[in-house]
Amino acid sequence: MTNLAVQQLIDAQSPDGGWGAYPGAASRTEATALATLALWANGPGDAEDGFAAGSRWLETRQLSSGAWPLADDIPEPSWSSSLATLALSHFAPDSERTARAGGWLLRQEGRGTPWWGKLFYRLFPDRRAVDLDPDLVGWPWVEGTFSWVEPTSYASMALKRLRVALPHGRVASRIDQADRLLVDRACHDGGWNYGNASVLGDALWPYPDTTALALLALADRPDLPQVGDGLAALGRLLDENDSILALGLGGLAFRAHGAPEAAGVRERLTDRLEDRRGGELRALAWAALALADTDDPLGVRGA
Amino acid sequence: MPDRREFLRVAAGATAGVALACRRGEPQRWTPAAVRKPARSPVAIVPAASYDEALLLDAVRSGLAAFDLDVRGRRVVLKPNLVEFDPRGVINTHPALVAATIEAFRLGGAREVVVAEGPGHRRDNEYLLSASGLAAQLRDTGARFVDLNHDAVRKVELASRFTDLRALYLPQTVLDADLFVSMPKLKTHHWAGVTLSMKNLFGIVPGAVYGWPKNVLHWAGLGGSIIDINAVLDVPRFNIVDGVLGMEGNGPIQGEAKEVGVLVFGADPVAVDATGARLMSIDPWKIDYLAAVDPFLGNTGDDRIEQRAEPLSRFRTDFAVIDSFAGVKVTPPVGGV
Repeated sequence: MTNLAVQQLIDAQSPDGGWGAYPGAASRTEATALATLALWANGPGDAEDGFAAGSRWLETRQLSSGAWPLADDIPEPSWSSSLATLALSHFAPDSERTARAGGWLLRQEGRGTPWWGKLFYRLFPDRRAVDLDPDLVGWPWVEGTFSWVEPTSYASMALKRLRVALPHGRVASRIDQADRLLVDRACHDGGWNYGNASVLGDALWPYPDTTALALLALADRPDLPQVGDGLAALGRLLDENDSILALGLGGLAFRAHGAPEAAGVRERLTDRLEDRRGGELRALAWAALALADTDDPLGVRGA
Repeated sequence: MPDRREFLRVAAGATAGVALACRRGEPQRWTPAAVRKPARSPVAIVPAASYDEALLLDAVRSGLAAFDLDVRGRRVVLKPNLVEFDPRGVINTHPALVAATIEAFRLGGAREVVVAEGPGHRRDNEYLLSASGLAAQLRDTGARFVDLNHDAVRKVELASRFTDLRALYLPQTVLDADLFVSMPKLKTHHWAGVTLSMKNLFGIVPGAVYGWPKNVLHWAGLGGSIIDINAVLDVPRFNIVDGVLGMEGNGPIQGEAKEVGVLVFGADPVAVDATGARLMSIDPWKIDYLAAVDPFLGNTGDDRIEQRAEPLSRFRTDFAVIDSFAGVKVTPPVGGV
């Protein structure tokens, strides 16, 4: 049976085959990559035409560098390339364009802390403004800026899916660094903020969406204590958050880690979808992925 | 060796040591398109002791009445500061004030009042709007909300050069507004010193293009980015500061509540923010971006600010700041600055 989120995604698909951030908005890569992946994960049936059109939208927007722009009217290579690459790693894993996308991702790096900043960290560790390891490099939202939890999680998920197809040494090194960065950025009481654990000595609090994304990126690392702490934090956070984005991503993260909370979140998510009115289409796509019948919809755990 | 303040900026993702004031021999950093400084800038300080809805409506109408502001038939875009779920009511522009402002502009004959924001930290708008109480106010007032992080955009060339950004994608909802109203909270800010009408414009920079927390702006230089965004926004503007309950210390999120009991109104964002700083006993001339914009964008000096409604001295309060901004405080916190 087609899950409710899939049906709502099909209803919201734009005539050009993509999806906008909201229903009726111009198509963008983030929502299109997630929605197309969600339709693929939910198998053929009513979604087949929608999947084919979404897949074509992604194919025709890929730049020669391997990256994707955010949208037709914002032509620069964008962070949403990670999500398009993740989608392609599922339904076109051996294609030339997927390898090109993975190659572009490997070349992207967050801007590091300058040498004198690192020196300052080492000389005055108690005066650090932000609590993080300045040597770790992940992925930024925009080229030339800092590495953040969310774009690093997206890129790490995509590369873990493609690690066999890409140059072994380079991909292993970037994945290892991404894992270490996520471990380093975990909040003191578990879970992930969008950035790091504290600023000016005050602890930052974790968010459900960034916590779930980090847990998805670390789905193959159940050995890490931050994963157990993160799952516990996610459970607490979802007690107070009923949004479709939080329940979709949270449910997906629980499933990826085989956590028993997944069933309850799935039930709440289904209830919420029944009274859904509008809202972000990327949230709907994450919900559709969370409700897919496959055991590990993002496939990071077994990658 | 860099000093602590300089390091803090870089640690936040900022470019080190951006000097905003022009040095002798340097080319001017703004084009004629950025020059909007009026001869004098009226600013009204209106008492508002609580977030009671009826009281706020009276206060907002009273504040707007102090200006020659004709909104009949116009499309007004309100831009509150919506950052984080906050049960204390200290972080965000209070939803009751947003609702009162919607009502006040409608009573003034506005064709449409839209609420628009692009939260800089959280991407879960459904949760943020609901938990903050803004969703309920939007439902009750029937006002439309536009997510500026994902709005359609146009690329605009900057009118000033306080950063190397050169151009920015900005939301069409803002660029097409008949009147754009910045509605910040009266807060200290751990990287910028204060966050008011001008800093509130970080929320119009689309996260989908520039990421969360709009990190491109931090790397480009916080103060310079505040100036460049404000200088390029060439639409009719107004500002209403929520100073009923402000935030001191480690703002804009983790500071402490500070009761002030005022709303601040004005069309010149520089004069409004300079007044807001003075209300917090902070010298606006020591906030780099407020000092740098005085020659062209608006009035920082109190000799060019025409105080309307209540006198500033009645509500001036001593806001705590973090150590790295100790130097911006007025000492002692009385008298003209």
